[in-house]
Amino acid sequence: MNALAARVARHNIASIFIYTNEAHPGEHYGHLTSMEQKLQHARDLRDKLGISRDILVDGLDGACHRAYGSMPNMTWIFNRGMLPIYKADWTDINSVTNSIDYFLDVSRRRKNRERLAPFNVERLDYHDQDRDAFYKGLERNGPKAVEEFRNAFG
Amino acid sequence: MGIRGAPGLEPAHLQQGEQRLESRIRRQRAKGKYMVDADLISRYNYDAFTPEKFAPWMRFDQSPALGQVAPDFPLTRLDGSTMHLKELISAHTYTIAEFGSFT
Repeated sequence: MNALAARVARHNIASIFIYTNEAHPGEHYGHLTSMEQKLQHARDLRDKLGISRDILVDGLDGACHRAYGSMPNMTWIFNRGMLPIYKADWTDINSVTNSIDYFLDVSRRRKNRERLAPFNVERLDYHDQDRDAFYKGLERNGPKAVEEFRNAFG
Repeated sequence: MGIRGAPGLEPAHLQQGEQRLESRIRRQRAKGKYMVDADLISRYNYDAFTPEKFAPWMRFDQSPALGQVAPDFPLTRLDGSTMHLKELISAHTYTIAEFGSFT
């Protein structure tokens, strides 16, 4: 996602990461109890995982996250009018790239004075399912996070 | 109030940013504008990934519809200053927003 953000920035496209609640709290990164802790976790995300996009931290009550559906790793694309034009309940680089390239082409066509009207489309996209890599990520949070996920989903 | 676990170790401007935010929240609370629901905060920031704790929050089917104006919210930058989502979105042709956390 960082590479995509860098590639499309020249088209006046902003890419942000909105910090939410902890999806898999563990011994190393526990559940959030204060805004200071949430800001620190967000800084760690930037420093340890190399998120180069701007990170914006939601309130401790998750008002923004909850309003947008509370999924743990979703992606939305908005146009300048604050209209969502893409929403995905999971973040997948191929899906986001495909969509933003499509919207860039829409902008190009509008500049060429094509008359365009929006319509709705639904599509089922597919993401990689690398369970080993996912568990490796959970281990970063502590054994509790691994055990709880295993209990929930096997 | 400083950064948890490392008070005084953060650059001064970060501490000042957080102090400004906290002071603003205190003023808003005093005016009744910022009601904090401690129970909501506790349930939303669940302490264990168990279905009864995480599943009730997953409401993507009730999220804002495509093509309709979406709600705006204040967000905090890592330096402690605040901004509104709409400020950013209205300044760009498109905005890609990924939601997530360290865990």
